[in-house]
This record gives sequence, structure tokens and C-alpha cells, in this order.
Amino acid sequence: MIAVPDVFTHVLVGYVIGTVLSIRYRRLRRGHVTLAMVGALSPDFVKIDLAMPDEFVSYQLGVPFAWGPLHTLGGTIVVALLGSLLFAPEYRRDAVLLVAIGAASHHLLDLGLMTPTGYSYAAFWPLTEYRPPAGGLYMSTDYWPALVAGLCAVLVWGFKRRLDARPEGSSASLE
Amino acid sequence: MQEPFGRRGRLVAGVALLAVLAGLVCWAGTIPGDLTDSDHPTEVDVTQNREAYVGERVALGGRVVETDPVVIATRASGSGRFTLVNENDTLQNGDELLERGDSVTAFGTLEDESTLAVERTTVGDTAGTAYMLLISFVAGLWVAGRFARDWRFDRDRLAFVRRDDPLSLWDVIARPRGIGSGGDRGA
Repeated sequence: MIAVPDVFTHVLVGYVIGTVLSIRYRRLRRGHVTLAMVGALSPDFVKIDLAMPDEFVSYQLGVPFAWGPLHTLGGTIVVALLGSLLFAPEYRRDAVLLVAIGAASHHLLDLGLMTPTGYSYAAFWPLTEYRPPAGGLYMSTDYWPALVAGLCAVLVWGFKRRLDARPEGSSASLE
Repeated sequence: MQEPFGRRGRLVAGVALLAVLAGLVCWAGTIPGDLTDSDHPTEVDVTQNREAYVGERVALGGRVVETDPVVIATRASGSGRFTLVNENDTLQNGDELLERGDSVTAFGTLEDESTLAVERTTVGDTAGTAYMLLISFVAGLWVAGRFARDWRFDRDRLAFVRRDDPLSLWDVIARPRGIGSGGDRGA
């Protein structure tokens, strides 16, 4: 009953969002786009469960344990903050924001999935265990979400290249 | 830019956040059900204790072993059988009738110990699953590759800093000893 869109779609959407932000805010560079992509992938860190199942970790540590929070609001925020500490201070604010934006896109996409029960997952935990109704828009095994996201990625990539090819000063810049 | 609260402050923040994360994963371990899924009982719970779930809404995953009526087996051995009622009319991701060998998840109310009145049927897609796993692996490599090209670990600052120019394959091949600074032109 695994219900996640393929990671590729998530990463493509992270790329699109990061690139659009880098077009809007010129100080954001290629490396920042990568951070949005990492964020878009970050809730799927929960898949560590495949290598180390909850029961195994629980048995080893002798305490109740579940990786699930990594794929919820609370876990996402902690992971973004923790990850930002790995960066030099001047990059931390951008890292938190871009990873959080990417992760938010991940949750939005996952809430749009078709699930066997018609209900989604506890996206807002630990605030609530409520499972919102699933969007029912696509399956994790569908090909078309990656195609649509890929097309958008090619479009923003092309647009960004055209902008970068222009001489300095001819494009709108906020900073 | 200097560490706003010094290296000690950064360490304290890291330990505190790790403690919060540890608290969350341990707390989640005490909550029945899987946060990443709906909170309805599954075939794992129901198959071994059927009478306890009669009248409840459950989601049973299994393989179709008979088609008239449709019966699924929730265990690989072919045991753990449940008869589905109204399964084909509630199929949400296909138009064709269920066939033997199909992998399905049926969600509905357990009418008695071996009958599920289905509200929603989802049929599995083996080729789609293989595609998903492969493409997800490629996506992971793509992000890891981009991160390695765009960022480098500064050993003096014990932190990642951005490369001014992305690391290229040529930088790695031509300067194998300079992995830490290869391709880094003033980042």
C-alpha cells in the first residue's frame, strides 16, 4: 500500500520551483536550485524504512520506533533545520527556506495521489493525526506525472538559459 | 560570515534538533497505525484475527485467486482468502474485469469473517512499479550528483559552501588529488 509518486516527479517539480525562484530572485544560483530539489526529495528519506524497518530499529534500541514522522509536517521541518546546520552560516536561511519549499511541494503532490482507501496520510502530524481525503489524481506507478513535470522542467530550463544569455542589466533584478 | 552563536551554539542547536527528531520517531512508535498511510486495518491485522474486524472498514491487499466470485488470498501461500463483493464496479484505476493473478487492494466493510463489501478497488501495476523504482533511483542519483557538483565541504569551517562554478567531470579526472577543492574556483 505504498503511496508515493515516483521520486523523479518530485525532484523535477523541485527543479521547476527552484529555477522559477532563481529567475525571480537573481541572487539564487544553480546550487540553490539543487537545495529545492533536495527538499522536494526530503520527505522520502522515510524510505530508509526499506533498509532498516521500524521493527528492527525498535528491537535494537529497545524502545517504540517508527520512521513515519520523516514524512510528516513535523519531521519535515526538523529535517530542514537540521540539514541547514550542515551549511555555512551565510547559506542557512536560504537552505531552510528552499528545502522547506521543496518539501511542501512533495506533500502537495503526495496528497494528490490515488490511494486504496481514499484517504491520505497524517501530513500534519504531530499537530493532528487527521488523514485528509486523497486527491485521487494519479497513481505512484503512472508515467504521465513525470512527463508533465519533465515538460515543465524543460520549459523553465530553456527560459532560464535565454535569460542568462542576455547581457547583464537587461533583465529585471530585485537584488 | 561567522557562526552567529559560535561553534558551540551550532553544536547545541544540532543536538537539540536531533533530540527533537528522536522524540518524534519514538513517539510515533507508540501510535497505532502508520502515519504515512491511512489508519485503517490492513490484511496483516485482519487475516489473523478476522472476527475482531467484522463490521469495520478495512483495506485488504492480496492476489486474485478466483474470479467468479472474486476471491483474493492475502498470503503468498494462497491462504488468507476473502470473497469480494462489488469489486469490479468500484475499480478506481482500470476498466477491465479483475483476472486471476491480479494484485489488488480492496477497501470496504468486512461483512463477515470471509466477505468484504468493497467500496474501492485498486489494481496493482507490476510494470509501473518496476518503472517507479528505477526512475526513483535515477532521481536520487541526479540530486546527489548535482549536490556534489554545486556544493563542497569546507574542512576548516566544517560546513558545506557553494562552489562558484559547478564541479565538472574533467575537474575530477584531471585533478584526482584535489577532490576537496576540484573545480572550486573561489567558492
